[in-house]
Formats: sequence, structure tokens, C-alpha cells
Amino acid sequence: MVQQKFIQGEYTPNKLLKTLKNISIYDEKKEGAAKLWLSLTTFLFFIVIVFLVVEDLRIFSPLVVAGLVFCYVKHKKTKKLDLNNQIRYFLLPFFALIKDDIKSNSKIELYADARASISPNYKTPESPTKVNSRRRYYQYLQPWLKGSFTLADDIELAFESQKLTTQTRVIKYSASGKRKTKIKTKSVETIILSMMIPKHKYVINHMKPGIQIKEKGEYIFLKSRFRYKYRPSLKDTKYSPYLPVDNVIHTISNMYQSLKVVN
Amino acid sequence: MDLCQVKTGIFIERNCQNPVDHHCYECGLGICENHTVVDNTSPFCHACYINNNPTDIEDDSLTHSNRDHHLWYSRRRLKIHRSSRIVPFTQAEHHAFDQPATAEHLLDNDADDFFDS
Repeated sequence: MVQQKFIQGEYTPNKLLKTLKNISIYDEKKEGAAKLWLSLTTFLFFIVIVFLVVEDLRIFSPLVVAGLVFCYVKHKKTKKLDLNNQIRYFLLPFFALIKDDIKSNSKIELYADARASISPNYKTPESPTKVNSRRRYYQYLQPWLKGSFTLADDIELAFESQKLTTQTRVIKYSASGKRKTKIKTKSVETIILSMMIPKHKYVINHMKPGIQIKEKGEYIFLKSRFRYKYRPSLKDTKYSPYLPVDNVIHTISNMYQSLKVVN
Repeated sequence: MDLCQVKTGIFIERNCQNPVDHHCYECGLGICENHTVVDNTSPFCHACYINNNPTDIEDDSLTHSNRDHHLWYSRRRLKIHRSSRIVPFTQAEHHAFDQPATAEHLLDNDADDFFDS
């Protein structure tokens, strides 16, 4: 998973949780290690400058440069194994919360892509869009999550999520004519949840806003979607940088509140 | 053998299937090892412990080694039930699910319809 950066397959709830937990612990440790190597690299960079300036210490500078290169290479290698934090902050708590509602002995089908969302692989066909000679939009659509499982009451729950990242690149020229590119990034995630409900177990009780209902054969289909905007900066505490588990749980609960058990 | 009396599940309420190891010091509920928090050498069930220590957990990461995952689950479950006013379907309500579907249940007499709320 860490090498390929995606999970795909059928898992029992316990096995999936164990896998996600191991991945998360590994990712957390690697993230910590990457930060440590970066701090060491920065520290050694300043030491190199000091050693080059002070004549008596200049003789040792090749040794410090070697250390600097070593730390930088280590940082890059550790960073390469870094995964999308949604695995740690969304998938793991989501399945930890829903585990007791999943039907015993049923399997979870899951595809989760933990690669970075800005990649040429995810560039939309119409991207880049040229607004004028100085402004361009680059769009990346990453369908990173897809899964389904059966709940304890035989309802089939399916979910999918895709992340749309828009990068705005603006070219600016300074007074001296120097060209500078300013990049702004915005991300929106769309989560679609659907339920396949056996008609002999539930009936529609009352309509809840934002839920599509379709009846076909012996099943009722409920579908709901919501969008989640990522916070633009760390200073803005209104938005979490990760998909909120509570929003997904509340959407499922809204769907449940539309139902009534058949007596 | 008595079973733990703690309820689990967010949408579908179920009883914990583990054997009773302790009794809650405050409410006397029979609780298993997973649903016990020892506070000042006395065992408490998660509900009583959370009521007495109402600090919230905002961090969704479960990877911290010192975290009690069962307590984390109980806190989140309680928070979700309070904030979204979910009333989980009880086991009694779901008893009907154990009955096999009859031909009458599978008859599709309704016309196909599709509408947005």
C-alpha cells in the first residue's frame, strides 16, 4: 500500500481496520521522520554558511556539506513514502465508527487512492483553461475513494468521493521586468452516498431535504451528496483540511431518518 | 454467563457480546473489559465516565498509541447522537429482520417513481 499508494480489495471490517491502523501508524512515523530530516537539513545549511565564513572552520566544511546532502536525500526518500492524510484522518475514524453497524461476516469492498491530488494523471481534458495571457486555470479531478458494504439491517451502503483541485496560475511582472508566477490552489470534494434498502424491511417515513429517492423492484434507493471545501489557509479554522467524518455520518443519519421499520 | 450491557452501533443499536468483567461504580451496569474505564481504582462505564469528564476529542487520528479506542468510539457515538439527534433503531425493531421475507414482501405493486426532495 505504501509503495503503490492505493488500497483495493475486499476486507472484513476487523482486517480493514487493522490494515488502516498499521498504514496510519507507519505514515505518521514517516511524516515525523521527514520533518526531522528537513529540520536537520535546514540546520546543517546554516552551519555550512558559518563554516565557510569562519576561516578556522573552513577545513571542516566538506564534511558538513556531505552531512547536509545526506540529510536532504533522507528527507526526500522519506517524503516519497508520505501518503494522503485522508487515510489517517478520514478513512480510519470512519470505519472505526461504522464498524459496529456493519453486518457480521460481510465484507467491505474498498478502493482508496492515497496519491497526491495534483498530478498529470488527474488533469481534466479541458485543462488548462486560458483566461487571458496572464491567467490560466489548471484542474485536476481525482476520484480517490469508492467503497460499499452491507449494514447489519441488510441495507447496502455505497460511497464515493472525488476531489476537484483548481490551480490558478497568474503571471506577474515586477518593475524591473522580472517574471513571477503566483499559484493559488483551491479544492472541493464531492461525496456521494447511496443506500439500497429492501422494501420488506423499511418504508419511506418522511422526506428529508437533499435526498433523492427512487423505487425499483423490491428495493428503495436513496442517494445524497454533499460538497466539502478545504480551508484555504491554516489561519482559517472554519474548515478542516480533511474530509469530516461527522458530515458523512450525518448524511447517512439523514437517510436513516427518512425510513421507518416495517412492522 | 452475563453479557456486557453497553449498547454499540450508531445507526443500528446492538448489545456488546463480551462477558461482564466489572460493574460500573456509578450506575451498576455490567460492563466488559473494553467498555471499562478505571478512574481512581473504581471501574466506570463509558457513559458515566464521559458525563463526569466531558472533555471533547476533536482529533480524528486514531494512531496515537496512548488512545483508548473504545472510549474514543463511545465519545464520538455520544457526540453524533446528540448533535444529529439520531435515534438508532433498536434490536426489538430489528427483530422483524430475522424473519425470512415472504412472497408478499417481494411483490412490486408500486409504480416506479423518482423524485427529488
